[in-house]
Amino acid sequence: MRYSALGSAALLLCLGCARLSYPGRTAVAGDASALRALQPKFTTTLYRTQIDVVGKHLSGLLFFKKQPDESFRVVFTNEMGLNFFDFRFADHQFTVEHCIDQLNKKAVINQLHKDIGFVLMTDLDYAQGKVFVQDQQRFYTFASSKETTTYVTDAATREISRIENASARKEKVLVTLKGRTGGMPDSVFIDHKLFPFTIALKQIAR
Amino acid sequence: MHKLLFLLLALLPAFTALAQPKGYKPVSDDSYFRKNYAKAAGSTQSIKSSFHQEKNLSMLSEKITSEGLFYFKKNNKVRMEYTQPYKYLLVINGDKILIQDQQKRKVYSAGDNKLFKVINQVVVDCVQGRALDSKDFQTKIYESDKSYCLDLVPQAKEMRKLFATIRIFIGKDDFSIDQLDMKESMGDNTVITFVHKQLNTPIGDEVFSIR
Repeated sequence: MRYSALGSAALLLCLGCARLSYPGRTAVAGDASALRALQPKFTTTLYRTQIDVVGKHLSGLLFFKKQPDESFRVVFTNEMGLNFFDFRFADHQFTVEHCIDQLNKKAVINQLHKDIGFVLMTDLDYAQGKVFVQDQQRFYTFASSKETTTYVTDAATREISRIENASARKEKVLVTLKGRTGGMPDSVFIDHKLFPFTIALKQIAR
Repeated sequence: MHKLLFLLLALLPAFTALAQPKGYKPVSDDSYFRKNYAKAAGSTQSIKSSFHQEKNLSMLSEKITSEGLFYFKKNNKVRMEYTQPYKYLLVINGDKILIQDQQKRKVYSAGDNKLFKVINQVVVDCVQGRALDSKDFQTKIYESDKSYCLDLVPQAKEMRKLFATIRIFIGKDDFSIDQLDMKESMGDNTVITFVHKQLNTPIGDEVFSIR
């Protein structure tokens, strides 16, 4: 009995350490740069935003604007108009234009950069991407030494419906995108799997 | 050196002009304004109003607008009920603050959260007319034909990080607040304009209930 319990524990431990694998996904010859066609195309977009992180709740408006130089500015304000942050995203470039002291921590900035960057697709190295298929879905996978980010396109709409970010062994972030208005998703839900942190965006008509 | 000094002196009036609100000049009768403003603030027991809010993103040349209902009742009770672009509620009752969005309802103590403490102080001081004599602001008074403008420069470090200046526009007819213009240190500003104001109409305490 004792050995059986130990065996179960060891099995669970092994499963926990097991490498993530996707046996149903088949590699196909293809160019991940096809994903470029699905990059957000908009001039300005406004989202109602709810952020929940480790028991803290923050709400406000997230404003996206594409600049003439093709970079994006992303501004988060509370309902009374006070700016929380103002970020600039360009091709493999990220700048903090403004951030209030309460949020201006390296870990927070890095995570927000990653999370919003997933949606804006400014940090992808398209030439290094690989393409897989499963059930008429396409998976565009970009691997770095520490993690893999996969863009999943919906079989029916051919739009990006999911973004998966994972280390070799654990799923880290799941981004779910629904609908599309004005070149941006109607709703975006960013769910961090390793700690309680979610960002919910709902597009507002302007 | 003399040329540089002369240039700086020559430019000084221009900078002063830039600092004051467009269309306004320094108030001619300071004591008249102070006396009547204090009298009006003292007799204002409540305010019920609609408001229109415009957030100007200066670097992006963009505006985000919202609107809602505003309630004030002496002492220290404020309710801002946003109806557009979505429902959002902020209630200040003493040192308690209620925030309710479509997902959550949460009560904060103003003292627990520096950000809310600052916002609480700004809103209540501006509406109750206390900002004029507050040590937290350096104040200048301007006037136009129809209104006064209180130009408040925050002195406290925490408030200076958030706001460069706060301007309160006050009607000459009833000395009540018409507009609040909060300019952030990075150049953006938020203008809240109060319309359809009703002064001293009965407002039940339940409007400001925080539970």
